[in-house]
Amino acid sequence: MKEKTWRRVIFLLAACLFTLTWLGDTLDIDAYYMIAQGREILDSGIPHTNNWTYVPGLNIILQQAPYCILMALAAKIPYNFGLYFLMIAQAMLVYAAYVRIISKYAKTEFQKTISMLSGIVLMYFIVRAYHISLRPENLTMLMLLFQCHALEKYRDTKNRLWLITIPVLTFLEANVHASMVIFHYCILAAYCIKLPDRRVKSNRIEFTPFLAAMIVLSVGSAALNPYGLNGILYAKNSMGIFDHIMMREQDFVRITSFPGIMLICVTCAIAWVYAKRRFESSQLNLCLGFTFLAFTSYHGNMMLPLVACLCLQKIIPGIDGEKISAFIAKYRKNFRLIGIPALCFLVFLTGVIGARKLPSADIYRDTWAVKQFLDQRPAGNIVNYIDTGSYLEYCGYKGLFADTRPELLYYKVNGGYHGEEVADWLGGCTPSEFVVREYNADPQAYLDKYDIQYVIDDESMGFTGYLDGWLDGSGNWDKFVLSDIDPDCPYTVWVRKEAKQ
Amino acid sequence: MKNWLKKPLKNTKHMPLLVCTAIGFLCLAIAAVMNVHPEYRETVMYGRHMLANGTPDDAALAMQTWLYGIIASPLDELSHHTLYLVLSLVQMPLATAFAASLFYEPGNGRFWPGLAAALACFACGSVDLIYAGPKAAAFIILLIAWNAIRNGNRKEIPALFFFSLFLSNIWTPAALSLFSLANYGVTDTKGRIRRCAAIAVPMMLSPGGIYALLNPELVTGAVLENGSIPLLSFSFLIIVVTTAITVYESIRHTGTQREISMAIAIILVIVFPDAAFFIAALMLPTVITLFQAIKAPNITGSMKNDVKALAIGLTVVSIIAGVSTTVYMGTNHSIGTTMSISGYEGNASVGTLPAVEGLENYVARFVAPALDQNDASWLGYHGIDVVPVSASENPEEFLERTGATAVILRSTVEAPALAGYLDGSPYWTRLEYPDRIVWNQIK
Repeated sequence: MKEKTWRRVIFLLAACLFTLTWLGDTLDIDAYYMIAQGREILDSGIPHTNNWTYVPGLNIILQQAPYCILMALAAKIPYNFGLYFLMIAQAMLVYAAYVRIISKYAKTEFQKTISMLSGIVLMYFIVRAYHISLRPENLTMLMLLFQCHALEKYRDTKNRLWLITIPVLTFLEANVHASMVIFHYCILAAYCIKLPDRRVKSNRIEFTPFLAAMIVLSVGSAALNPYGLNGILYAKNSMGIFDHIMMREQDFVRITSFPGIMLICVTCAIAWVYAKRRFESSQLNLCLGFTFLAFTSYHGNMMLPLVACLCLQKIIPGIDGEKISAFIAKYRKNFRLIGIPALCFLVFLTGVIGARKLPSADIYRDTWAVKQFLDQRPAGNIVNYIDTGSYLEYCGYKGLFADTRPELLYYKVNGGYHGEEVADWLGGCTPSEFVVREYNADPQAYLDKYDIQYVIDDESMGFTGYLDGWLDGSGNWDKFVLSDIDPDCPYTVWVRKEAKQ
Repeated sequence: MKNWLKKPLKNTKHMPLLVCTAIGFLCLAIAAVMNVHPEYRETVMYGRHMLANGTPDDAALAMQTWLYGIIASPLDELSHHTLYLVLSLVQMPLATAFAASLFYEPGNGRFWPGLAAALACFACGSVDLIYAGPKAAAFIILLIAWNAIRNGNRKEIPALFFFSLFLSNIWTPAALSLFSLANYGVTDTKGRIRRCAAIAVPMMLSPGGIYALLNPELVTGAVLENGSIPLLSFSFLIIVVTTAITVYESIRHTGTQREISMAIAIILVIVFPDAAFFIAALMLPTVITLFQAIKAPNITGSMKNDVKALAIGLTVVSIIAGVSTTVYMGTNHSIGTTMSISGYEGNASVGTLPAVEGLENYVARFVAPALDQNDASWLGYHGIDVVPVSASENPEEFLERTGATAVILRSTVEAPALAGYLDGSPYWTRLEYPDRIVWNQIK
């Protein structure tokens, strides 16, 4: 085998190892949501009405419909092996894309090796930031990177075929992860604009009529999704919900957290490359833009590895590793004899451990006891928090308040029901005009109107804090603290007294 | 009009400084009138308590600011709250003036020091320092200290010791900033160790330092609870900008000493819970680094340019100060609608409290880091017991434990479960006040 191929094999194995080591013993709650939605689509087609909530007639937008189908199909393979391999395949593709960017200007063997190692470190970051799970962000990342690649190819070769990728990618994005379409235009802007800075060399793409036509075409192609314009505007329409419901992904990153420290490191790297005058305009624009995105929310930190790649691309060619290269060359044979079998064994071992874990992924530990509790009781509508919703949907429950898409509670998305104000009210804010008008600011009126039989809330981080206290004080509901039954379960369930068995 | 502006400019070379000081003064006056910071009341309350009964229950906070507390509390009694206004009107301009004086170096021109002072003033205001309290006092001492210790020689060791001693007793964490400032420009390792020791020894011997050493779990607990700064906040922005400038400058220029100092400051900001103070301290070396790198424009020759520069500077500063004050009030004190210059009693946030029936029986309030502590400090200041209600505490157990017969909340969001329980229970009645909700037990 050639030297180059050996190196690739070794690092792919090492990357596998990292990925497998970090597999959890349950799926991400988003995965449960998407599998449930995928099953629904396979049974009844693309939905336009929300069948999961107890409020009748609300609109639904599934911004990841094809990905949900893919997940549901993968989940059909016994013992969750389908999901397992889908996860690995995505991780490996992202890793390969990262390494390709980092090693773009690497010349020596040593620099290429460092590039691959850096890719693994970045993969570790993604794992820590929870994006290596079964999320469409992985595909978005690949598409964004491919967009960059296509634009660079066009810039270098002037071959117009590369520009056709713009409408194709926006079409794919609109169907895989509709809310992310806008980022493709951000990348376009980064390649077309040169900031007025003499320190930075321009490598911008000339704005031609053909490019303009492709951009116009891409807007049209993005609209070719099951929800049309609403699908594209989903992100814009839904953001208001996060003023009412706090989600970790939408929250600001803390400086002491892993992404916070990563952001400081990335800032240092940008400053370093900029001071060395190694940036070209498009790269600087991308770095600044993506770093800004990382600032805005926890979710945005998925952009940080990409910025890191762009900086490393410029840093690595300056690394001179002659001594280390000589050392490696001296022991290369020994390494091949011992290192590769050892790596293979480790990959196999961690793979087996991962494979052992995955069959139990059907059981989401936190909510398992809730499901067991509800299974023993008559069906009924449930007021619940987003954390419990997805797993209950995965287990076939309907008539819920929320799942991991709380934006569906937002009136601009669902067509009129002010779920966000209800959530505010039940969580402890002063009743809004809507709540006073519709329910006379009386929780009992709300609970009766929708025939709520169960209320589920987290013991420590109460989502419906006000309602919890109200249920306790009213004396009409029985309270069951599930941590008494299962220590891993943080939830409390209130059961309407008539529904008690 | 032209002469009015021209005359002082012609005769006063410190005009930019004076103007910026006046702006600092104005910002402060606005902030002081709009709100009395709860930390001032807390410090005075603890000081009063210490003078009367010794260390209060919340020793961690009291020990950090004990000197300020026992000096301010008798003065506060004497001047009946006007001390706050006087202190705030003196402290902040002093801080601005000392910040400006740091920039008076050959070649820096006249405009840059003034603008830098204004930036420092802005930084202070934006990080919660526009009020009378131990932090503002500590900030001024820090600036004076830096003026005294910036040459990096051995003669400065006693001064360092003295300033560390003083700072540690005014507000203990502030002494940590000295580690950053004292090493700025110091080149030899031994010298750096000597200077660090001169800071560390008095700090550890101060009541706040001793308390931290004896109760590390409380201190680290506070760090873990409050230590993280949200991204997209002004504080975080400053950290990122200063980090980027530091790296950029270190590559463009030789010498790593100031970068080491900066690194220490950045680490302090990241690790320490009350990072706002350190950010202000961190801003200064960074601004100086930046300003030293920029060749100051020669504006001494033309009066026209002076006026232009001042006008630009003033406009920028006024906008920044206005935005800063608005953001400050909007984020931290959104309750403030009615303003009064008369001091605390006119403060809108606690205006209705004295009128609330049943206040003397019991007051329960949820105290969380996200909410300001106006009620708690106001009630404590007036000798009324305040019981913090944790969000996770079971309402039934809380009411049983405390035996409360009346509950006052500003909004249900302060303690949702408790509010819900009281609303749901047939044994409590709810009364609505303009900015308070009161529940009374039905006897």
